[in-house]
Amino acid sequence: MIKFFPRKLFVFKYCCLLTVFFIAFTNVFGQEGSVPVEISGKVISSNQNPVLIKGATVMVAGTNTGTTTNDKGEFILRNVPRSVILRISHTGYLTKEVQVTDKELVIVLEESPAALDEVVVVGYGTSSRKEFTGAVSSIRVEDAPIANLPNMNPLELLKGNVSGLNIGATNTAGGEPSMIIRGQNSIGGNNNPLIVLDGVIYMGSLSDINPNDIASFDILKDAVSAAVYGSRSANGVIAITTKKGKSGKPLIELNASSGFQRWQNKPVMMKGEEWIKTVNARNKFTEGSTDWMKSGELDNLSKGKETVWLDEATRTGIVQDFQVAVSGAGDNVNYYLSSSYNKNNGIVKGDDFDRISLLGKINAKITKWLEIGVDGGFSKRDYSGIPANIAAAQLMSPYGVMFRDSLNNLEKYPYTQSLINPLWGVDDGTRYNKDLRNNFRLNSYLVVNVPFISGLSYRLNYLINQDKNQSGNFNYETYYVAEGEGLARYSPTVVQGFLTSANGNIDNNSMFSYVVDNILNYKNTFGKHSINATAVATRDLMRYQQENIIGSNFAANGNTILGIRGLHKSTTQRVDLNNSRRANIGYLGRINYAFENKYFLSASYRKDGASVFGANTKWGNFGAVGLAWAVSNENFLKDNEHINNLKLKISWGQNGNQGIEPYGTLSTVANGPSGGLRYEFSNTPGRIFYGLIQSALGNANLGWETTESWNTGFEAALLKNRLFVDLDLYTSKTTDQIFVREIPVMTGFKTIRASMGEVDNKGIELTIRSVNVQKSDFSWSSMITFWKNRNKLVRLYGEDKDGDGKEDDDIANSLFIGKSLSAIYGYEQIGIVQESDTEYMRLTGAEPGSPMYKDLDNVDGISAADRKILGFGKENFRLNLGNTLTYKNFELYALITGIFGGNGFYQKSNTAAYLTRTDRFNDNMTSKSYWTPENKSNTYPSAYYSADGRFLGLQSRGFVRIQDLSLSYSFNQPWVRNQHISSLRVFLSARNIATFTKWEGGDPETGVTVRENTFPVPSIYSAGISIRF
Amino acid sequence: MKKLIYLIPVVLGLLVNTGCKKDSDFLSEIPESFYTIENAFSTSQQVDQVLISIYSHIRDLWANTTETGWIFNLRGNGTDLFDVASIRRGNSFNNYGSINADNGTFYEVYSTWYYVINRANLALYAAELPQIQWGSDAEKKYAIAQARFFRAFAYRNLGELFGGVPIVTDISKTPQFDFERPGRVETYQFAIADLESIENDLPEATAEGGRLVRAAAQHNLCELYLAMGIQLKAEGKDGEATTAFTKAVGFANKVIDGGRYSLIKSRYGSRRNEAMISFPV
Repeated sequence: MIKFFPRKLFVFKYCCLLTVFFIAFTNVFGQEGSVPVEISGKVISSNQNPVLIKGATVMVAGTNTGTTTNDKGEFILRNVPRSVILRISHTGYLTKEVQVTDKELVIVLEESPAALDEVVVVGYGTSSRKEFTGAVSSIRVEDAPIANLPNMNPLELLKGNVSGLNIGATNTAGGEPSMIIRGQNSIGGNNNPLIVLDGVIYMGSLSDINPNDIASFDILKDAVSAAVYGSRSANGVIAITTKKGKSGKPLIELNASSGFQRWQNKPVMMKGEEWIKTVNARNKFTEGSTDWMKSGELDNLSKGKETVWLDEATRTGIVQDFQVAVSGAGDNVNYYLSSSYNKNNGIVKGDDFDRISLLGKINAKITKWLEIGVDGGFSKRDYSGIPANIAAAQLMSPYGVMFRDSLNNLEKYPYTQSLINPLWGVDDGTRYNKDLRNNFRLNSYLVVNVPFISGLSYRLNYLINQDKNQSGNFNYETYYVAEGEGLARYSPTVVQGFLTSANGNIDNNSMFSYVVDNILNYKNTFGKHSINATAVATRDLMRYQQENIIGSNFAANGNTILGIRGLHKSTTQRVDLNNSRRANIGYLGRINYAFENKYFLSASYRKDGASVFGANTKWGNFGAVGLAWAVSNENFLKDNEHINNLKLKISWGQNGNQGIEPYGTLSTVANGPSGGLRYEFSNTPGRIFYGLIQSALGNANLGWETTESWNTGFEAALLKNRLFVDLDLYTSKTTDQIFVREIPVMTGFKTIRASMGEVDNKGIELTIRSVNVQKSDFSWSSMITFWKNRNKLVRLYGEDKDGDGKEDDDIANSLFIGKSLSAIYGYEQIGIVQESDTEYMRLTGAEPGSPMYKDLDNVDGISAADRKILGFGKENFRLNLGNTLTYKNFELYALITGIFGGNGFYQKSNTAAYLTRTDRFNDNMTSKSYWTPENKSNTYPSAYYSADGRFLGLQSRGFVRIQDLSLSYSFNQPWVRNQHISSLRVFLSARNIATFTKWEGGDPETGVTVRENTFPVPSIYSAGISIRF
Repeated sequence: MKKLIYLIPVVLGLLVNTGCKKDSDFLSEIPESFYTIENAFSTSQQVDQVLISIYSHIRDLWANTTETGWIFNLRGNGTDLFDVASIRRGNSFNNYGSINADNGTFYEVYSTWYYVINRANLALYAAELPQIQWGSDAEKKYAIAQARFFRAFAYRNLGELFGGVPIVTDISKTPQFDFERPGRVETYQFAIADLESIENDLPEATAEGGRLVRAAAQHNLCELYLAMGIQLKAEGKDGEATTAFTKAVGFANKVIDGGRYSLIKSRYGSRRNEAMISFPV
């Protein structure tokens, strides 16, 4: 069932607009094929001696209606609309889409040597996959089952589908998951891949791209694929291609889905009675005593009234996704217009998000030599609202007082020592928050095919992206109600006293960026040689401007009725301005050469300049070379039945990373009110003098983090194109890491940013796709992806203070030479101290019920010398399995993902899973059978054991998850066609359905423990419909 | 109509290619909303702002308004000045068993005085910049005198707490790693030379309550000579020690006999008329 939005009026207008939009387009471009007809035809090959193709699949595009050809290559489709598009596919041939014009069709399929002739985006152009020498993974989204899933962010489409690409979990409404390709290269800098949108570097937010508008992704993982992007390529590239019109009849598409979110494995906190027992135990109070409880709690206790705070702070979330798109293509014009609305009310109360997005793409071939295209996008995101505090909800006393009076007004301090009601400020009018983000995007290009020189073309890209964000907060005086008991605290006269504390801010910020690419391309074939050469000159600029208006103290004004719009009435006002600019220049040359379609070479060289680097190191050079050998095109394999395609490849290259923000190399100054240095002389009290200091020591030599990497592997299509195996092996070395390093403070500064150190990565990536069953009404295909990355810190600051001839580790930052990043260093726990462990207690002073640690240095007692590396936060490997089954009109897709630990990998401290005692004497906790003299637990410390910093409670985060599930049904019954519907599909889908893990607390992937204010990763169940006219 | 379309590439081309900056200009970083050391100084008032930052810094060290742990230690926590009960886990500076060279307090205390030195050097550097126009020669001299006073004050504190410390007399533009430690006497001597050179540039009294006056320098000179004398005596240089002690007496006399200062003999402050409380001892 689709719930109606709360903003009815707005939606109404919106729908009207879309309807007009539709009608206009259908009238202009569409001549509806209304009467169902019978279509028959035959399918032949394009060889010089054409053969009839039997068993080819003929589908009505966008539906599950279809048939296969008989022994004579013939097919008949009954009861289909007159003007449909047919999609004809057969293994060994290129899939073809045909607009039905005649009722008798002859469809010619072109042979594809390996059915791999996809086009991949390689940066400043495209390449055919078979000629490509690097490691790239492509994911088709359009019409794929993953598009049915409730995707709020483009990255969610990629989760678990691409070997070597780790996509994190989304746990907030409208949130963006983390992404990392081939492991962590940079210790201190950015590890995010570069985003390329429709061929141009995209510097906006991914959340502004609607997942519904995406046709495909290409993930460039190795050096030769990414090197064309020079200084920003070291973390790989995610290239997004948006949908465009298809030749034939204009298509009107309507997609709607709606669903709900649940918190799976919600932690269960202790109920009242057990909570009282443990509070007494952990504080060594008299058993059964309740004199430490506040009167409100005692009242609830006597009435037997308990509150499950976690239930109060959460709800069933809602997800909604509506999209309308119109697209089409003629001989010279191609257009795609889309409009979407997304809404997500998260599981946590107050965590709300909605987004409206529009995308219009038009391109036209004006003349033989000129093509022009313009894409315009708009998106408006609204994150306004204050979410409930999940941590407080887990800590709060079960007998705490939710409401202070009978009118259901909240009590601010329900009572667990100074803990504020988790719902305080959410919608009680004590706080206000708005967070609006508008994005405008214009991507225009022109292509000139130079008429005089065959194969020479010039392309100009010009992308502008403008973000206009407005956010603000206001804390009313009521927010500051004091801790204590009784209603007097809420009386107007008392609350009025907090007008001095009332405060707010309005933050207007904007980000403008542009990219200009001048691309010269020459492509030609001379006999056995073919050449594709590209030269690029590119510039981009990003400009950020922020105006933050801060006001506090409304005592003189008398009230805060104007709220955030009355900031100018406050006594203390301040304006903070923050501008920054970031610019890049690149010059690139690339050549792709192929000999006899067997041997391929690609080489590129980029000279790159970036403003963020030191004055002496603005420029860097990045080169890459790749080789590939299409073994299956050699005579000895050419007609092999089992090996249909085999390509070996190797590549080397250097990529850069900008591990620094603008102005990070400058000697900055802090002064004025924002500098924070103030003084008053005694003769002029109240007159403030502001100080001026140099706040950082610049480093004009700060440059690139350089990643040099090797990649080798093969791509194979086997067993009559039923089995596809891609394997990549890689190593990389990232040097000149940008660190904040310590320097002698006699310079006046403790630290400086410096380039030093080295991190190596190596790994393996395997993708196996198989077509297990392919029959006319049943097919089953699978995909397995596996990847494993190993990380090693090779060099750090180059210091050897202890004089052992080996470089020193940086223990404070958990950086160990020769080890993986994210090492966990500490004391090895060997159970719990029992009363019988007298010797251990004598040596360490530990009490029974405390954790027991292993003595490694053989010196009596436990000291810093007993520490060692206990494990690593990094995962061991990832393994995912996807299956797609189609039976008649049904299609089922399931994805199981897993991140695996083992060998000490993928561990994290989870003290909350073991401890009963917490920071406050009366916090709530999850129930556990803690150590007592009677219950000699060797796992859980005693209730009164207070964590000493040595205790880590390491747990493995390894898990297997049923990540995605989608079931769709396509209608092709006569009534569908009678309604002029060319395709009608309904689907059910679910995400994050079940997780199998030993990790206790929250989601293992985000590594959440109980009692943290990290929002849960929801399970999402949705139902939807997709109609095409 | 159709012909107009041909204009699009031309217009686009113009849009993109006009106003193109040279590569080096395009990549140069000029912050718009904050200063760097290159463009921060244009008036003499800004030189004074550097001095204000030192006044502010030293007030924070003495008053410890932020209740920072290591500043409590600097002010005497764990000594016979005052102590904090051991049950306050965060304040363990009274437990001498746990104090070693790795204790962060020492690094913070050492650093805080080099911050003062760095700012004093920055004020001295800025005062001599050609673009700075001073109202009068005396104004400039007073700015320099304050900077030198604070620098000397920092070296005196460092000398007392750590012995000889590296003498830094310029601002740093690049990180330096080859500092050398002179002796304690040299450290005191540097501070004494700084103070003696500006003694007469400091006014006897100022309009702004709390600004440095001459007697502050004389008082510090007295204590510095005293400290240096003690160190010289410890090094067996009795003759030099005696000279230093004599100097100390001389500067003490300047303050005591200057006629401006005297001991407090009666109650003062806004509560001077409240009843006295006596504790039986």
